[in-house]
Amino acid sequence: MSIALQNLSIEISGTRICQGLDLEFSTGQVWCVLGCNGVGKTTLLKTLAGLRPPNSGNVRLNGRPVQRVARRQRAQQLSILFQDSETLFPTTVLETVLTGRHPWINPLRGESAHDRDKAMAALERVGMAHLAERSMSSLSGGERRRVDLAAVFVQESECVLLDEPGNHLDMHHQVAVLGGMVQQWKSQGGLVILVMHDVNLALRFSDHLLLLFGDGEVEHGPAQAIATETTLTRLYRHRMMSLDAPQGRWYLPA
Amino acid sequence: MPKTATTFLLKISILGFIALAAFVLALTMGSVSIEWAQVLAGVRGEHLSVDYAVVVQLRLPRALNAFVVGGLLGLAGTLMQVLLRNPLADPYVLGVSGGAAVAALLAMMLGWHQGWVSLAAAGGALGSMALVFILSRGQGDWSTTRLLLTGVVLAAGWGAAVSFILVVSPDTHLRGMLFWLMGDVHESYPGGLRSGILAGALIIALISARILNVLTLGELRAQSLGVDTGLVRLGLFLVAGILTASAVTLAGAIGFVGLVVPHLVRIWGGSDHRFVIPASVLGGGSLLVLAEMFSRTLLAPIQLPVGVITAFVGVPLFLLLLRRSTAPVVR
Repeated sequence: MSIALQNLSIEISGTRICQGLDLEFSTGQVWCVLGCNGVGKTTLLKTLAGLRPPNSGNVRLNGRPVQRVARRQRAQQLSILFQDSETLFPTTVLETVLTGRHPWINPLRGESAHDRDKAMAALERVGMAHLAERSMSSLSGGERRRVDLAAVFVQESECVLLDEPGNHLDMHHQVAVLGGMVQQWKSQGGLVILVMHDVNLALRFSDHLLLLFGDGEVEHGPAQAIATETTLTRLYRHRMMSLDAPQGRWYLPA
Repeated sequence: MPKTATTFLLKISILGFIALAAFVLALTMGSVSIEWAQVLAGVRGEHLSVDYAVVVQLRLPRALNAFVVGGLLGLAGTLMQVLLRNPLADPYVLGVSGGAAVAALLAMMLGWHQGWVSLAAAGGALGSMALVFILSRGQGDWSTTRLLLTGVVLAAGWGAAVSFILVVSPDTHLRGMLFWLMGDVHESYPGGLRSGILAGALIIALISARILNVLTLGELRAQSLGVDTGLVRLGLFLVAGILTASAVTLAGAIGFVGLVVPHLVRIWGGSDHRFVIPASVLGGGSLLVLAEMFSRTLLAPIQLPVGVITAFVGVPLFLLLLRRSTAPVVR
């Protein structure tokens, strides 16, 4: 399982996100993408998922250009959690999670009891099983987020891309639920790429960092080597200080 | 989905019974009371009576016509709401009926016969669809907003053209034109083409129902789940457009059914399209059969346009359900 970037350049409405980037994300790794607002983190994620063509270069999913992988097969190999979710008509929590099984269900058949069990197990995991029959529109922001996470979880893909997955989640759900899922994906040999704004949470979850500075400037590598006061200060255009605690090193804005 | 599947089947069966009951009402009620023994004798070919003629040549074809038109509109409305990502969309929002109306009224102004008027309406509807498709395509990108705005603007244009035609037409044609615009069903059997279109579209829609569920979560989310959204949206546009064109050429622009039936169905049974699609066909069909019956009986012997009745029946029904429902229809 790997996503390889070859000479990748991405621009969106005049903003250069990366230029001539060569990089390989491989199995068992957890990557975190960090950068200021509007630097193109989401656009990068969409490009990796094959939902947007790059300006030049290639994104390869397991060696094949991601946009040429058959859609259904791609959805079985790669899932993505978006920043926001929308519902057009009132749907229940369970129905929403079951949509995550779509790539695995025979197009001419409905979801089986097996799919339902998986969906309920995922809801159990995010602490939403008791609300399975509730309407999505009656949920709080954090609850919706947990349902969306469960929908990605039941997609059972080896590559998982998460755009600000911690949004709206309280501390417990950030660390235990989201962190637990990331650990499980990693230990099963999956590849996880997260976009996050919380540097400390990012360092807690990930082993590699990809920093987007804007203007196409990029740094990447093992998290411990990359995360320094100087680099993070340059990244956020705000002075960042480190604080050594028994649990590890923490970064705080000055 | 074992539990839900049973609920779906139960609710669809209930709608089936409602449809059947609507047909029984439509055949029994009217300005002439019917001796059923006479009708049965006619069916067996023993004795042809007035009762038999009224039921088999007048009421049954009108009811069947109404059912097919209602089913076409209910399904078209459901698909159009998904395509345009807008709960307020109805089959006419993209100007398909406007194009049909302009062509039909022009044909009436020229004094063409009814068959030719229908044919002209079909041409107008398909021409308007093609126009929306080409104009909204722009530079390759086919966004929902652009599609909706193109359709709405075009529909407004057709509306103006209709007013113009009404103003310049001789008085003798006006009544017929108004009935066409309000929508009415005729005493002819619906024919294989429309019934076939309804059946075909129903099968296609049922097969794609789970894809439509995914599409309502947003285009990107659907793509990330492996759906070819471009293809699905093109399919929705074509199927919904052809359904609308079939309904409009059969009965003019009957309002309200296509907007309200999908919502009624969702309030009652949820938003899963495996339920909403067949339920919209049965619900739309039943509603129009009843409306057709009322159009004959309410102010008998005056026959009202069916389109007026759908609004009379549909508006209070919808508002009542909306008040009682806990699930918001429009969030």
